Amino acid sequence: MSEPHIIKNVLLVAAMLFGIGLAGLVTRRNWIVVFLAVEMMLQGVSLALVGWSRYHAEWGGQILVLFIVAVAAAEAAVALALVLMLFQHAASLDLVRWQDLREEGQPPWVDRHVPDEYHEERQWPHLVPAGRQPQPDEDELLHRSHV
Amino acid sequence: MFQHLSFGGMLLAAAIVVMAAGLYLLLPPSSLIRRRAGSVLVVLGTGAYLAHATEAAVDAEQILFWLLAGFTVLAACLSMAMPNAVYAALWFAATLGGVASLMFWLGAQFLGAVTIIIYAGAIVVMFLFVIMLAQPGGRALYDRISWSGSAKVTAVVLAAILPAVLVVWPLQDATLPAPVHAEKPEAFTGAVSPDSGSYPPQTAMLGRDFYSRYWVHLELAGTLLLAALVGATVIVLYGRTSRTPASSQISKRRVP
Repeated sequence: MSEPHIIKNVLLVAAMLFGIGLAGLVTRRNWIVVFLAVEMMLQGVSLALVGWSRYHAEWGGQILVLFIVAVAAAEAAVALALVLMLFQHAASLDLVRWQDLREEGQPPWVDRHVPDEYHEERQWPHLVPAGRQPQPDEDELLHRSHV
Repeated sequence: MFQHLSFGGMLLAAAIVVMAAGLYLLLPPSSLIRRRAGSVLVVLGTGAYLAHATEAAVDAEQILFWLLAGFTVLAACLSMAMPNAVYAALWFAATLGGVASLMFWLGAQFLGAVTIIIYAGAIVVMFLFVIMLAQPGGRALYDRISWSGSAKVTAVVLAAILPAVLVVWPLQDATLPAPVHAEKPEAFTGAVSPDSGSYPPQTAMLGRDFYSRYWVHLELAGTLLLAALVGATVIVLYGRTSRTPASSQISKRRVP
């Protein structure tokens, strides 16, 4: 592959990652998933920087990605501590619980029809049973030495 | 009606529409069937987008890129789609694996390793710890619903159109800027050097630049990490002592 095609391919994937993160940021209602979406957007930017670093044969892009990693770690630490504080106040990770912060004059958000939990989400993964049932020790059952 | 549209234009429109439809099916509220259909559509949309940047001759490198890119985008979509926050974090770790593999593909070995070690190894684990503390049940009502339909449509269309606006349309006719350094050492491509017959010392060259040209930035990053550490500790220690009844300010309406 030639270098212009490589950078175009990489930029396309980077823009897709950024866009997916943006969509998740706007649509999801869980604090933690919202922060995951922000990290996803950072990943898109990192990928684009690495691509440009290769195209220009210049280390600056890769070093900027290292700083992005450092800042993302710092941001995640502070943000998750804040999320825990918010959870202790509101007892929920729902963003709606903090809608008092909305702009003045905006109507409050009310959930109209909440979908039921789907059947497949209630099921746990099926584990294959392994081993055999242990034989109970008769003396132990009678005397209960460990109780 | 479509006579004036070229093949490339129709492919671009198909990419946007398929990507938007796939994301719309994936994002909550979704079900297992919708997530499966949305995954297929998202992979198809990724392929339609990547077809814009493909050379006439397809080589093994290109095919490997398609596989890695398809996996990365699919994992990213599923990370945003999963109604269980734990699965969302785990799919995010899979996305990080995909991004790291794309960095390896580009020849940035050190950054690929850093992405796996620090992101997937530390940051995702921190997310999982917070999920364990704050949402131990895993499933929650607010993970199954979203905001109003118009917000979801806007977000999905924005996400689907972003690669076209940022990459495909600007690079359609214009040529890329000339590279800053015309000749490219093997350390940037990760290829085996023909002179020595071994892999280039990519990490050593990156580190040499890092600790000479950018040492002030390195010190700043270290200071920032220390400040974040102290800040997170202070938030956790003193945040709970504030006696402001935040719960009384929140509307008492309970979601049915």
